[in-house]
Amino acid sequence: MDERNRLTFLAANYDNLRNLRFAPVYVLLIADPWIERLDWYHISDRTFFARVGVALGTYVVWLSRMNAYYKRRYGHAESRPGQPTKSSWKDAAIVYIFFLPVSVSICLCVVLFTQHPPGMFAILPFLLLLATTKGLLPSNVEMRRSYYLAADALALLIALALMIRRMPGHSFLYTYDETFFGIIMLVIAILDHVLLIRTFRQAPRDAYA
Amino acid sequence: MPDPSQFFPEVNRVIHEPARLAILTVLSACRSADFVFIQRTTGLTKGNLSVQISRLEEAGLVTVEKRIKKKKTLTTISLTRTTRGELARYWRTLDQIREQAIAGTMSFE
Repeated sequence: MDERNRLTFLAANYDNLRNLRFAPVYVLLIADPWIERLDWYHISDRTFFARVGVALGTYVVWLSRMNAYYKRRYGHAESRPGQPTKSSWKDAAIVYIFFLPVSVSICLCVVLFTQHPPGMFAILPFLLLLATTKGLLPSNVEMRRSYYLAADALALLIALALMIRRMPGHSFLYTYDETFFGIIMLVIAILDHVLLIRTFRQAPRDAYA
Repeated sequence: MPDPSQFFPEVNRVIHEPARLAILTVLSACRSADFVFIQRTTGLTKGNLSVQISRLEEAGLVTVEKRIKKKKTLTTISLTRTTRGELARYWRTLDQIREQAIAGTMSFE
């Protein structure tokens, strides 16, 4: 990456690269199958609200600490909303290339396997695609695009295996599908953070003096 | 000695300086940025960055906003309305110079 591209990439994507701020949401997604096993029907309202309060409090504290960390270490930059990119038609094409097979596969599964209609997990690949669209854009750096692409491919494989239900161990995947998606999102967040640090470190030491 | 400007179009000297060009490149990709962010992205020292921002402000290319928060000065820098156009013109001029240089080199061959 040349210096001009590095500067532009950092300034334009600083907000997206601070993905680790949302880590508690991904951890909650990972822990969801175990949370569902808790006896929610027999606990008192006070216990229920206390648990929700602790979860929300943890998230708010984490978010403010992470924001403070990024601001102290790397400063603050306000991104430009709706920033036009030179390769906007390519951006649109890559999104459709990903959305189209997923939509067709889900429709086919509904038609062919009506006795086992796909459940809520069919929404997860869509959510993941929406969450990772910015990472897939050709205007992004190659390294970021490649790990977002790998994450999407993995998520789609899991989703299709769940829908077709002929793969060995599909019942295990069915129970822990949200855990897999949570792990994928958490790994992406960690990789984004590493990329952010690495790109900042590439700054020349007063090269313009 | 012949004047080089008669061969090549004139570039904006304020923008052409590498440190100032780096600052403007960062600011052109976002709405605004604070002093720490520009310092970390460009790798400039505090003193050098401060001088270059002052020069850009004098030239009317950036606006500097200073606020006091918890006894600390927060400096936010953003491009003025005309600077994006100036930058685009600067890159176009460089492209023209490159094209002329390539054409000149080819005519010698």
